[in-house]
Amino acid sequence: MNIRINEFKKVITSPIIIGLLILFIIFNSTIIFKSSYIKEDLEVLNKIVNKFGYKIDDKMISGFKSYYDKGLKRLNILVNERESKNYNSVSEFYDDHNYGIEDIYDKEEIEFIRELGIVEAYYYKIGEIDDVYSNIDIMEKAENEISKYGLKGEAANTVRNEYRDFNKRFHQLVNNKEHKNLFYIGQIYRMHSLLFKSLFKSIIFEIIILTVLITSYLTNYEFENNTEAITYTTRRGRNFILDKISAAIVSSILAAGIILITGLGLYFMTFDYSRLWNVPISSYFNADYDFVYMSWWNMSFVQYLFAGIGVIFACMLLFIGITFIIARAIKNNYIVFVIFAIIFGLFLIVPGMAPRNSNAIFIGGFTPFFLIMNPFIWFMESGAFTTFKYYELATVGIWSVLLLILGTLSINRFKKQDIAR
Amino acid sequence: MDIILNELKKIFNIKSVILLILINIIMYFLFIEFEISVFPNGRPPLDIYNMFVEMEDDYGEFMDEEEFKDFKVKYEEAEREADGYIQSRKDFKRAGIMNYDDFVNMDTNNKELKKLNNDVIFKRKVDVFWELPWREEYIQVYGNREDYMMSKASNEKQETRIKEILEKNLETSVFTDVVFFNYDNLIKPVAATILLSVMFMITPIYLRDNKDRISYLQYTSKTGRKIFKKKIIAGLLASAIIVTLQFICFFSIYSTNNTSMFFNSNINSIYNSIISWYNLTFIQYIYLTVIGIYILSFTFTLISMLVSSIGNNYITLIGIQLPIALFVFVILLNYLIHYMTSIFYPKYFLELSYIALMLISTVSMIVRWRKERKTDILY
Repeated sequence: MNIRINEFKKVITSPIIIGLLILFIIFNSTIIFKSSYIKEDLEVLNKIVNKFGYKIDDKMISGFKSYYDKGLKRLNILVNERESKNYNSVSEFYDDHNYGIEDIYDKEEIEFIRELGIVEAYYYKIGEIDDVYSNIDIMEKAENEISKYGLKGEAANTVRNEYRDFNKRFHQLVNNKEHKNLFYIGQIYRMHSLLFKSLFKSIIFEIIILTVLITSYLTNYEFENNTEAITYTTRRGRNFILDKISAAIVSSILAAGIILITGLGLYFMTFDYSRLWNVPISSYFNADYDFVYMSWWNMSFVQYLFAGIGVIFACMLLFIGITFIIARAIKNNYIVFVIFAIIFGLFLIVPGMAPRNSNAIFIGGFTPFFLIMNPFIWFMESGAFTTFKYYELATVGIWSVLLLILGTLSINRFKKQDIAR
Repeated sequence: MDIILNELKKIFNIKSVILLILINIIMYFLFIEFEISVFPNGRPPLDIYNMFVEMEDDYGEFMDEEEFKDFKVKYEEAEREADGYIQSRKDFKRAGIMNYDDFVNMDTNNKELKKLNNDVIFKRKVDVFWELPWREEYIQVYGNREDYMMSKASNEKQETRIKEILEKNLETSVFTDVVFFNYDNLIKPVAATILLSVMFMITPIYLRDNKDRISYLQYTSKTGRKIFKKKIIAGLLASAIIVTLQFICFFSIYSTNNTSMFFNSNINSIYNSIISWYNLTFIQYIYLTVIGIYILSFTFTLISMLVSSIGNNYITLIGIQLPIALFVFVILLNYLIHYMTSIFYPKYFLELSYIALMLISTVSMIVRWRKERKTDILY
């Protein structure tokens, strides 16, 4: 039987790895269920998209306007019947009914009014797009970022350069009309934050925990079980460590795959994105807080999602490499885990101590540890330290090369090392 | 005694101690340093803090009606100072702003006036203009303090408690939310750091010997299985040492925040955000959090030892301890250390939770010891 399969079996039959997997899946589900109450509100947009499509152009606007006007007329007929009043909008209606409308209207009517209110929100948002985008000044954003972190001199110039590049992309984005697409309103539902911040971040940390445990478990297995004197003196000998790495990679991918598939599967079963897969991620509606999410490339939602999953897997491989190098040097798995955590922490706090006027402050951003902290702004305008066009690729690239070199050195050293406890 | 001493030596081996220090440094810079180095955090907290220090100087622990009159006089003085500042500037005169009242009521939609407003408040940061709105606010709060306090009650028990506070006039205490909120924000990560340190140091206690199969030798010696109990004592002693050292470090750092003048102020002040079930002063509240953290540390020392005696390799220990740690830091601390004794918890919630935690950990350790006493030694 293949020795790799046996290595692989060590992982998948380990009760602790399986236990953690189940715990993590439950935890991810609670994140999704906590927000699942907005599900029905989201249906309203799906209805609109069914009728008019998600692209906002003149034809769509006029169609949508008559749809909204029709709804408003129906509302006014309804209100006239009960209260003999007229309203120009649903928000005006709600302002007038601070104490609830349950006494005056029945369930179906309340449902209709609520839906119309959401339609109205989209209608007004569409109307303000051009206004908002003509007022966005990317360079002003750059200055805000500079003063926010107190950057000076060289560092401040680097940020300005980043944003000058991004400014070009911004104009291209507007020309492409990427922003003129319907999407779930961010300011109300925060779907981008829910998916790419809450869910992605917890998924990433879970994957890190699992990969560190799996990799150190396999690397130190023979030493933990006092079998090193047998395994490493066979014909296969020290090359066995290579089998261990490949088993660690395969089982980590499997674990990450299970977590991603269950987490994202449940997410997309709860929230219906089926009509919005191809909406550009830079849509004006995709703004959870006061600034719109704008990507460096013209990406659709589904492309952005898969790019994000790609980065997660890439980072996972990097973390396997880092753990392997630590575990190869230290035989005690407990210490390996703690040292990994300490390195993680050091990479987050030490770079911040660099002087604020030199470009050294940016070096700390180019680490996988910093990269995974903000999954919701990957490939996007993302603040002073990470708004470089190829930031994600550069980080992953640099660290892959670095870890390949260090890993090879580490393996070579292991091959010549005396086996001792 | 010798065994306990040697067990302590094993816990405090040089490698673990170095890692422990590193863990503490990282936790400090990631979660604690901010509330220490930027206290009071910007403005207006700085102005509020200064105002309360002055009040504490003038009025002592409580502000009675007489002193409240003086507080009002201070407001008028400050207003006059603001008037003086406004009248000393020509651009204000040109804009038709003659005194502080005009300044407050001026139309900020007007671009020129808005510029003046920004100039005074954000550009030059004139102290008195930051201070005045809060003095005004606090005078108003003091005047309506009974209504303010009562509005925070949402059930009968809370109502009776608030009435009790009002009867004793505890709400007039000179104590501010700026100080309390800062302490609350500090003590939570401090508790997390302490628990993490304890868990890290104690977790290997049994596994270290079980892995090296030293326990077989130990159990067949004259001391025998009693060594299991001795290790419990060593573990509890070690965690007491760790926690005490960390508290000494933390409170010497915290003293740089300069909040000692409020130590004898009652925390049930209208200017504070907690209404407690008990009449605690700030220093008593600090003692309470310290006691709470000691209890939590002993509890999780016992739980760590339990896990350590069950697990058969380090991966298992990490796999069990990690979810426990995350649960404690994310959920448990928010109930057991955050706003302790506040009336938004049921009255005996805190006492019962701590007792329950102590019981669970002690009982499970006793059960484990009973089992260990009778277990067969198998290779």
